Amino acid sequence: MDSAPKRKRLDADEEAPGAGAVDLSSLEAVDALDVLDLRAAKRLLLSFERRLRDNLEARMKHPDDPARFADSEIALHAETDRLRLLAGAPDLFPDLVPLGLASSLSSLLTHDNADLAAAAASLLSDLTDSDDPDDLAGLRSLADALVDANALDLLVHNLSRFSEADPDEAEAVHHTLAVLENLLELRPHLADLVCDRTKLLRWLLARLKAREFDANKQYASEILAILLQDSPANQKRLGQINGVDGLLQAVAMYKSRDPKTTDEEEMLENLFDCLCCVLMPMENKERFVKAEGVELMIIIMKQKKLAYNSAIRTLDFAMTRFPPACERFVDVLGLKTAFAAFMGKIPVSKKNKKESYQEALEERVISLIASLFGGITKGSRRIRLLGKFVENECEKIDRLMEFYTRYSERVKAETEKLDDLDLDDLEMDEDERYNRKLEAGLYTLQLIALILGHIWHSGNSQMRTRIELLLRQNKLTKDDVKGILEEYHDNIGDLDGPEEKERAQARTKEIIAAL
Amino acid sequence: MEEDIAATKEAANCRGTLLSSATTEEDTAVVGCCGRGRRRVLAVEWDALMLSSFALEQQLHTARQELSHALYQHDAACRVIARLKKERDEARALLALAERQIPASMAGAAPAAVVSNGKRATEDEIGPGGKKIRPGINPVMIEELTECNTMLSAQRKKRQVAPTLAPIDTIERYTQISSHPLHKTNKPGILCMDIHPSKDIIATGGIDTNAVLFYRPSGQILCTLTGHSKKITSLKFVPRDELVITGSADKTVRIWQGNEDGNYNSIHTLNDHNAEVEAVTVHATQKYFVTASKDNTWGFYDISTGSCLSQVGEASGLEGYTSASFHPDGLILGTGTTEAIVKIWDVKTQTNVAKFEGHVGPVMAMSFSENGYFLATAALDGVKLWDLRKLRNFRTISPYDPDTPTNSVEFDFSGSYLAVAGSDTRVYQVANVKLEWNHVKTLPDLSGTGKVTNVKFGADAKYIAVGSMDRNLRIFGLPGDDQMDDAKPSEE
Repeated sequence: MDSAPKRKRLDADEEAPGAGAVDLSSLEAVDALDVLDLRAAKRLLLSFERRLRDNLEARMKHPDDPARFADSEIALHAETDRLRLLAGAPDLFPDLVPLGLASSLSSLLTHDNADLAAAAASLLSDLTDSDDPDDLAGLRSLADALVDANALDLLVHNLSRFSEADPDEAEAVHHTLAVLENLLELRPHLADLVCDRTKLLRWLLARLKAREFDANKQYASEILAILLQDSPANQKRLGQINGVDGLLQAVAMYKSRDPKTTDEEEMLENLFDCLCCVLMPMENKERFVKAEGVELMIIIMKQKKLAYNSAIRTLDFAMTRFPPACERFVDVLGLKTAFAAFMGKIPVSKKNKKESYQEALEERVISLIASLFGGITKGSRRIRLLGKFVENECEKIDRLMEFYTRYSERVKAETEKLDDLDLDDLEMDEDERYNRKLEAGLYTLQLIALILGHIWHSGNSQMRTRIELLLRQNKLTKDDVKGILEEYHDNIGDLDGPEEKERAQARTKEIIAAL
Repeated sequence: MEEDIAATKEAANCRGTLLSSATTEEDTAVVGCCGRGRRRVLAVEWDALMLSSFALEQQLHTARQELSHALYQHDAACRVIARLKKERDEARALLALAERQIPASMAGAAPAAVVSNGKRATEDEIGPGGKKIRPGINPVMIEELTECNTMLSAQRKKRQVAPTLAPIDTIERYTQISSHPLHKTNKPGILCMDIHPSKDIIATGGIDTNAVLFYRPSGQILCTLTGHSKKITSLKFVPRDELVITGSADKTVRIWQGNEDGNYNSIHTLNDHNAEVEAVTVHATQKYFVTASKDNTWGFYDISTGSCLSQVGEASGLEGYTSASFHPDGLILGTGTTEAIVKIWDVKTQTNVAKFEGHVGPVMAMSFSENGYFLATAALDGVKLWDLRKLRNFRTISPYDPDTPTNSVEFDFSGSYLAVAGSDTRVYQVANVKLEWNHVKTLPDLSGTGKVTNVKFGADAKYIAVGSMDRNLRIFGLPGDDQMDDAKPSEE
């Protein structure tokens, strides 16, 4: 049975030389694709390096006469294309790296000929791209080698070098960004490194300030979001180069108009993600307030555009544990807009009709109001804040109790579920249980209880009467609220330092005492 | 085999002798001359016989094989038949079992299960014109209705005004003593209300699709009935069995059963109407109720089974019913239509016995007085009072301007007071046909919405419950009367 195919192959081999040299080479190519073994790969790499050397020599010998090194350029370009075959065999990279794969490609990036540099970027994006977890080891070795060969600096340098007016160079920018994204994915620690060593942040920021929307702007927003996500150092750096203002400018373009395409929507989301990340360090919150970020967010909310939800999220980040932002918010009449959202007057578009969207928004607003109560402790602003809750027969307290019952039911259901699980001999320690309950709604419930506590603490008799009426109506007592606040008090973390923790605990104790 | 050989030999011998006798006649000369010739002939004969016997044996062998094949096939066929027979018998048994179970499940309408009339639509008979054929009100029920009516009318004549009834000067001092946010803040509006006749429980139905049962003495919400998909337009208590009936704009009517720990569960969902259900009213026997809908039909139901015994009227897209109420004696039903007409029906025959015209705009509310002969109806032009003995409109009360509709009108149980709700709430003292009905009190609209939708008197008119287009249930009474306690509603 096996002899038949063998025979066929022999026939083919016999026939091929007769058919001509072209057939033979295509056969070789087919062989190469199927089985790119180490030898073949080494051969490819060596021939590429040879061509590169030849081209560099030619350029050095005849710097003013392009015609003389044109051939070697074209040959080099062809070799670069052939290197694409390597993208199919990432497992070979660890062996190819010592031979100079990374350093050769890096030097190609700095080539005077923009086409070649673009080809190098495109090639690198292919080589570093893979979704297969088996390839990770090979890709990582390539990534490390590229970093050692200074590829990061060269890539960022190229970003400024390419002019996006030319469509080919715009594509090259896209490829360069792709390489950066892949490298960041392979080695997350590069996020800090690349922003420290290069001017990438500056370039990204400048790119985002452009008025027109295109694919590269969207990609830039994505990269910036990746860089800021888990890196406090980058967040601080971006703040120092006026990043907060830049991002606000980029976002301000959408205060009166909605994004037109899904891609543009995604970019807007990325921009807001960047904004929220950059607001983590305290000094950036200051910059945000100074750059009139609070006002901008309120305007976006008032205009009821698509960015409504993101604006609330940003305000929440800005006001958390930062009293000046809370004060500014009250001063620029933000209470009216915030409480409209609290009462459910949320602009609903076709995409956002889902209940989960509404609920996520409501949770954000509750967090915002809790921050307001935390940040504004006395003075006329406090009176204005409290005054809101008396309006319209204490309708906001009614709404608060509606939320209370809703989230309290959820926590109860989750607790029962956890108790059932415990019975099934699943070991779960207290922290795990607490975290699960937090996720199920206890976090929001604690904030609601905190707000109720603040309102009660104010001493206003009308509000206290209403709270008592509502508690009784829902078969609850003040002790229930106290219990939640006690648990909250015991679990206040010290993320912002021990003094902050003490302050927060003292205040909570005060509120509990008043109830 | 030896027997065969012996047999063939015998045959050969017989043949041989025959042949020899034959040849003797023919070739006496050939044979007769020498024994060697005879032996040669015999040998040839024997060969021929052997060959033929061999052939015969072959044939026998083949025939035997065929026979055995045929027997095997026959055996297999028999097995197949047996198997098929067994399968068929099993299938028949299953079918019989299933058939036996269906009648059982149809007959067992367990009260705990949720029965939905709509699902059974395909099984109901469809009469001429596509209308469902209803069982109708049988003579036994008619007997019941008549008896009830006789008993109640007799009682009515003897009834006196309770001495505990709040007097006019008390009502003049009524003010809001409490407001309770029973419904959602982002979907405000109370559309219907009922007060339990013996317990101090108030039920409100709202735009937020919920019905809330509120125990006034403790200020606690007993239960929230959720399940309707659109606003609740009408609700009524059936005190005898701890039931609540709700009608909704989602075209369904639900019957809710209360249990010992105070929770209510939906036990029936009725889908007999094709448009919003606008009114629910309970018969004096508490065994039947009527629903009226914008689809221009009203349905008479048996409470215990939730089945519609009779549906009266032709479905129409142009007009419909907006309100309905039983006369306290139960033999008369009043319905208000979108065309400003009040239709009076004889319940026993389901015929329209009287039409009251004169209103402007749909008749949104109606109330029969417990005195048995007064009917109050409310529409855009205010309240009209009808004398049922003479079938005429003897008085019209128009407290509001022509653009402000009157949304609710209610006699109190003693028949001494009439409450009217439009842009605020007004209380009148009931007099007779000839005299003026004095305006006793105006309770302002405190909701800020300018629209009071419901008003009901508490027991002995000791308080007045008001619902508006906001989320609050408001209680008006004498200041100092709102002592809240944590007692649970007592069983009476």
